[in-house]
Amino acid sequence: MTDVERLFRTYNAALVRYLTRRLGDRDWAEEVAQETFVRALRQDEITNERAWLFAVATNLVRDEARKDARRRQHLALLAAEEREKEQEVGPTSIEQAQEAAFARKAVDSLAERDRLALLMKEEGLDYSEIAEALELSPGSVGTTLSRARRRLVETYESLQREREMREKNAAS
Amino acid sequence: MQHPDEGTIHAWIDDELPPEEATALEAHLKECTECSALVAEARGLVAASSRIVSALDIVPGGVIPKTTARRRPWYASTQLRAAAAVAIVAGASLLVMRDQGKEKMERAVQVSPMAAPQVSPLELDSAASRNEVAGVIAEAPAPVAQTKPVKKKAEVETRPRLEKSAANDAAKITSPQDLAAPPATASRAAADEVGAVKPPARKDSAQRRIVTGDMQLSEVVVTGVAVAAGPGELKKVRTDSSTNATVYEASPGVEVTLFDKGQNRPVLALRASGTAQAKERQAAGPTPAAAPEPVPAAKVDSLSRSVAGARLNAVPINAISWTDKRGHLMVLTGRVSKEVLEGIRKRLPADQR
Repeated sequence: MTDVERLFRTYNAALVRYLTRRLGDRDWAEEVAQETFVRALRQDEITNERAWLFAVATNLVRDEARKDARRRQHLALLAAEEREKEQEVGPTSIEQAQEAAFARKAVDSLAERDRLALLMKEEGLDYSEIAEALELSPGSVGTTLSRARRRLVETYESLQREREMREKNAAS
Repeated sequence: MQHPDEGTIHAWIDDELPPEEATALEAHLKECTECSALVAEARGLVAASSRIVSALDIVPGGVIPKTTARRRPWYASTQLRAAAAVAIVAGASLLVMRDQGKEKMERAVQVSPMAAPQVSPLELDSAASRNEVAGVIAEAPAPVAQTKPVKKKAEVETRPRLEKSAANDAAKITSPQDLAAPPATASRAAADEVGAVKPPARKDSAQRRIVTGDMQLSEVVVTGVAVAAGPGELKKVRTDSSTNATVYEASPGVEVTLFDKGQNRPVLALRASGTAQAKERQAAGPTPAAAPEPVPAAKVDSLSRSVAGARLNAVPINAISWTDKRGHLMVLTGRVSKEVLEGIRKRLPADQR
């Protein structure tokens, strides 16, 4: 087993999940993850694998974001078509869909660095890895995460309250 | 220790605080209810964050879902679409098959059938299939041949017409459904393959009865291995008057048996196949119109034995059929190539070719 194979087997799932959560697009996430592993192939030495992979993936996302927006739109369209087929597979309850929509909104409301730190933490990266990947000082990761979490939860809860209000109004 | 900031509390919850800082914080928490409340809140935030982030994964592909799940109308359901597609394809195929089957059958009646069923060695692998082969050889009229190019498809294509003819068919025939059933084993497959030969044969015989009322069925069975058939007369080896069989020697080691089944042979009998049906027919007795006896069960058995014996040879059993100059239907089968069969046919007496 080559080193890249090992890297792929060890980190691909977490990386794709992280990227999917970040991008809201599984296909795009897989593309970025693959590109990340290709970059790892070219890298001579990686001291902290996980931090390196998440940092490169994050940078790729950032670079990608700067690129032609139309191209991304096209890809998103294709991905949407794919998902249209996929969607039939598992029944998603209205509550679940609602939950996912609020979660997406809440995550999107975070500052980029806070969001990435939180998503990395959720993938099991420790503070030093997050610090390395995001070029933060290790001491500030706790603060970044606490801010991210508070903001995330507050936004999510306010969205839920709004909906409850709407439902109440609709009912009365 | 001073009151810790929120970041420190989160770091402590995440187990990321250096040991000495963690110890100090824990000591402080025992005394400070305010900070303990903060810790409790922070735990809640950590747990809630994890749950919210996980909720991002709910929709496959991570699409941003609509505020309410979009429901497809009933006619857009995948199952319904699939069912509709199947129904359409099935319907269309049936129409096509019906047309093709009709066409083929009509052609078969107009043109005197020359082709013959090709029985591969595989098909002889079970006793059952051997009997079936024998049944076909002994009883099927010449148009058996017609089934060869059609092969398995024929059983489907001819079904609609078979069902029609079944109305005036008193004999018990294998139902087309049986024939169409997927083969479970090799021997079943063989039986099916042979069975597939039958429906068109029955069909054709019925058709032919209408076309030529006093048709006579003759049959030639070849045993042994044929050497390339040379010119010259076939040598008559023996005749069997009880079965109206004439045995010729086509070439050294190759025997040709001619069964004269007589005129006005009941069509119903032609539809039956195998030993059981042959016996059944015997029990019923020949109809006054049927001049010679149908092939008795014993003959069928011996036929199947000869077929089984011939199995040792690599050449599959082939058959050709034609209508001779007297209007008799002739079937020539044997474990020789079709070319050899054609060669043997040319050496038969002129009026039988």
